[in-house]
Amino acid sequence: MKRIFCCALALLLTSCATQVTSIKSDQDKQLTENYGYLLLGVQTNSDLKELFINGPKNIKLTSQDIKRGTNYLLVDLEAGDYSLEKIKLDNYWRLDIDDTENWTFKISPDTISYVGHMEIKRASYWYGTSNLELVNRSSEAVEFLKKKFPNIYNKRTLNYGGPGEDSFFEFFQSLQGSPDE
Amino acid sequence: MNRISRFAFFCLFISCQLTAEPINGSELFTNTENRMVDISPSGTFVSRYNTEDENFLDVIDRKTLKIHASLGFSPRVSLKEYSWLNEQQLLILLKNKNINEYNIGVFNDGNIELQAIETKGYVVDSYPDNPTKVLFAKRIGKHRLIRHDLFLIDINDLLAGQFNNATQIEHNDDDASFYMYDQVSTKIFTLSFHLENETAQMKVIPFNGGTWRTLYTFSKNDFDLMPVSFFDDNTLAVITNKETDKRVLQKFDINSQQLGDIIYQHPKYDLSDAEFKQVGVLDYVSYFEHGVERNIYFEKETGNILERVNKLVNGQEANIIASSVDKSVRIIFVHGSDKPGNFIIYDNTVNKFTEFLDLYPKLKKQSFVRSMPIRVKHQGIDLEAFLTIPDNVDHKTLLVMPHGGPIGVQDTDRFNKQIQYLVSRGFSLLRVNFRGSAGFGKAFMKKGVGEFGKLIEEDISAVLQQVLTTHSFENICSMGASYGGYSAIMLAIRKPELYDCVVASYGIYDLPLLFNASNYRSGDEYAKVIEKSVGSYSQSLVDESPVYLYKKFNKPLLLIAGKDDKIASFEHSNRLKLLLSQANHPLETMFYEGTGHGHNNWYWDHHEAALVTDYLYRILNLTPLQSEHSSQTSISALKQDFLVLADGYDNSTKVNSNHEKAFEFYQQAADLEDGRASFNVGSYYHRGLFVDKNMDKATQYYQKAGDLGYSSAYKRLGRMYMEGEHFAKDYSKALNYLVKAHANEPSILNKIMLGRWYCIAPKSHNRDVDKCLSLMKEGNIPNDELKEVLTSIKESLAWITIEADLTADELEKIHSFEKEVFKVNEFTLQVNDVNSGLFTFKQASRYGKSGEYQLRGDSNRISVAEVDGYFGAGFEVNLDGFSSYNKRTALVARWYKVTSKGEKEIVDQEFLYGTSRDTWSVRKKIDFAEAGEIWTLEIYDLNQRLLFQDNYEFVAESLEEIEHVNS
Repeated sequence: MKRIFCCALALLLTSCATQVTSIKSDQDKQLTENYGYLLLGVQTNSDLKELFINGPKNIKLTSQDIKRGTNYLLVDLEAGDYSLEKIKLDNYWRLDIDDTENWTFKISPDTISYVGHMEIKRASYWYGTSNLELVNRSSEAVEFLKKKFPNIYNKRTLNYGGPGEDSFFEFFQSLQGSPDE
Repeated sequence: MNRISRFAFFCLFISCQLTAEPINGSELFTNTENRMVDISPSGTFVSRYNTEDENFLDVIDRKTLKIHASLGFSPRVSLKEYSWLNEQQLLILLKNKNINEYNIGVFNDGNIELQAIETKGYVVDSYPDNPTKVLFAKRIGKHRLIRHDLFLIDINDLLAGQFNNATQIEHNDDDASFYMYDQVSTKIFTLSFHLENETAQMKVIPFNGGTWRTLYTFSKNDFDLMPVSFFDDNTLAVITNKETDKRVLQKFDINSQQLGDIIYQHPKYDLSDAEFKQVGVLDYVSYFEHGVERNIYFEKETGNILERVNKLVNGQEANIIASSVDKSVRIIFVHGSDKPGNFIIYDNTVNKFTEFLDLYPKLKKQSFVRSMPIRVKHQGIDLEAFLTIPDNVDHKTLLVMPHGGPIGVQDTDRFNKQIQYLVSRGFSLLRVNFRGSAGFGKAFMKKGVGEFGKLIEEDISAVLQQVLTTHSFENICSMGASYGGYSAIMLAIRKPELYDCVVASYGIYDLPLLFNASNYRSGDEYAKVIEKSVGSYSQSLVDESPVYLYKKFNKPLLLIAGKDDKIASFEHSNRLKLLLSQANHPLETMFYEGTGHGHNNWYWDHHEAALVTDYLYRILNLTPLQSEHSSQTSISALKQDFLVLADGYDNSTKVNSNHEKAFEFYQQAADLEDGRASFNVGSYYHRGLFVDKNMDKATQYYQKAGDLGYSSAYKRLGRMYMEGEHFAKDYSKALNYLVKAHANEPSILNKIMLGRWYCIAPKSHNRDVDKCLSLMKEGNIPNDELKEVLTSIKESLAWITIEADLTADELEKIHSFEKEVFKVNEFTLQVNDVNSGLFTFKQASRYGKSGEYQLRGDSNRISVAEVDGYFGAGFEVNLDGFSSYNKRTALVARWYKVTSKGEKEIVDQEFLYGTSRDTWSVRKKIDFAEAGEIWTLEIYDLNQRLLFQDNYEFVAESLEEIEHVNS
């Protein structure tokens, strides 16, 4: 009985995840109260099927946004702590994250929170064995924003919400002058 | 036989004239050609693994130095290790497709014949007490239950898989599965790992078996402890610094697990090694002094031999690497800062040294420069350093090169390819074992902890100051990798008056980031590891980080990094690049794709060395090495540098494409009369890549390249005369070039092009379709060339189908060839349901589904602004009768264009094959075309009938404007 309940709950939780896609237009919008932008990099050596992130709002990324190579997700979300839940590598292999504490990041309100690059290196096409790491690649995130979303970048403070501490964004933005607000 | 004579020739070629010239990077940055040198038990034979052209294991008669027997390996098989069992047999471990294979090698008529050991398991060791036997660990169980039983077994029984007469060495631990045998103490060892507490136990049993006894438990400690040998039954000799500042040779009581008396300690240096002749009898200890490994001998015989060798080799290192069982014959390896290494045979019975082999025979004629040791006392600390000064071309330019680490790493003064490469190009080099370096005791090492950018750099500066009192330089640059990259920049920040430029590779430039590189490279446990070098985490680290000090850094910088570096993550380099490029700092970068903390391939080491040299010459405005007085050897070395740089920028997986730089370096190599470079310069003019298209220049360079022996250039000219590209069609000239190309290099591709001529030439020029097809079929195609050869055959068939004036009989012969190679069995077809125009590629919305090309508009006017679009046609192919996958057909598509100046140019042609059930299409990306051009697509069947033709006119207007006009 308990097992069935757990399965049902798992299905319910999975189905609750909202599909998100990256912002396409470089127009800064009026964010809902207690919302901020999430900037997440995903670098993978194979096309992935889905990626699930839990937090104040459960979200999933679909295959369109997690293709082989380096992908960026920029999306506005409710502020708070989020963590990676699982990755569907393809139709057959899934990686469940059991060390959630290593995969937790923070979105701060009204800012752009860069939380790291998820690096997913699958050892073989036929097997699910993969190396995963959430890597601090803040300078590449800056370059991406300046190139693809200069308006949003210029209007918002960029902060680091990934694992560990990092004051690079503060230093970098102090050189550019205050954000244009 | 050829191999034997080549070896004999090499042995005769001992004396040579040494000249100081730029070292050829493609010969320097390679694996050693001779390695795994060993000697047979009696000393009758010596052996080596030779990888000069192909891979061979050679057994050589020690007295005549002639090859006695040899074993060649295919490229897919590598020799992992081998050992002598007796005078007739070798134990050989091969790696074949990642699988280890044990074999017994037996000499037979000049060959080494392999007999495979089929029984699963591994050979632990030979057994000198009875050379017909070996120790073998036989695999028992499957999958996770795999273990091994240990046997002493006759070699022939092992080959037959017969264990009835083998002696099993019984022991009390089922977990023991990994065995080692120590021939000095005649004991068997095992290591058992305990992941739960991160320890490993070394255990031992007597040779006859019994109960495992724990010798020592390895765990994470702040000290080193390395067992060397048994000192007696209850005592080990270990090298350790547990109770001492230096690493010393000390007794270790096995029962109490306590250290005892010190056997030997050096007053100044850590011991690096020790060797016992037999239990309790110390042979020698080793330590590094001024970066050179020195030995102190306790056994008179060994000491006498090496003392004599040392006199011969004048301060270089000499190590005995193999001996016959009775020690009458030894192999000694001699090497030093100016000597890559060679092997000498010493025969004690006649007291004679014989030069045997070089590690790098190709470098034998090259002279190298020896470093000079420097000792400096700074703040009460003795510092050792090495200064290397060029002995020929000297640019009076000093490169100060801090080593990596920095804690627990030591710069040695052994042969160093990078150092010799740079010094041969006129640079002086200074390397310092600053505080924190290994080899000088724990206290010296701890003095460096937390001194990033501070006392470590002060040590380097103190040594530099002393050097400057005796040597003068016009330029000084700092250069280093890893910590050395960091230090190179910090030196220029702290002492800007001294430095003219910096080269920093794979470095760390943001010290706080070391504690926060990723989710798994952050946190308290990880911080403890980093603190051992950097000191405690604090914001004060910002004050010693080049990223945050970038405004104080004002020297030209070459920044090199690996984009997959997990040790000094790429983020360090990219942060620095971001800040410096925003500040318009004189910065050049080379960020290697798919590269970690340095290269794992010699080719790219050469590339990096050439890149650094080119940078320094440009930035410091040094006089180029090449001149009219340069020798051919020098010119050849410089050409290789230009080529490796050009190839990197032209087309490589690790360097971002840069046609301007590629052209520049090809041009420099072409100016030095290099054939391939001349061809590529011609090709750049031909394609209008970076330079304006100039067919006259292109063909001039092709001619030059061909004259210099690069056969592809003559092939290209032959094709151009054959096809009427740039030149008027001239079949005589075409044949002349194609024959010369084939004569210079009878490659399969040259044969195919010559074959094409024999199919296309008019009857008046003796067209010969039989010869054409026989040339195309000639030769075995290696697997790695198959794709290129098939492409060439398809191109040729496409051209022949469209252009050749063939008789029915000739066409039939070509059909037979197409049938044979491409399994085509239907030659009559129709093209239907053609969609022609502008296409876009639409990704599939569902995971795992393929995307598709969708016809966006069937107008023949196409906007060049649609850079991601495609143009061309998709169609169906109809064959007579029922559609079937067994019916295979083919067709030929040709693209040509008329430029805005009205010039007609054939772009290319494709040979397509498949069945009527397949999807057929011929498309090109729009970014190939320019506004004002009209492209034409023609499709022919293999009977030379034109089936379809359409034109595409390229305009500058947008797609919307075109659609508006059309509507």
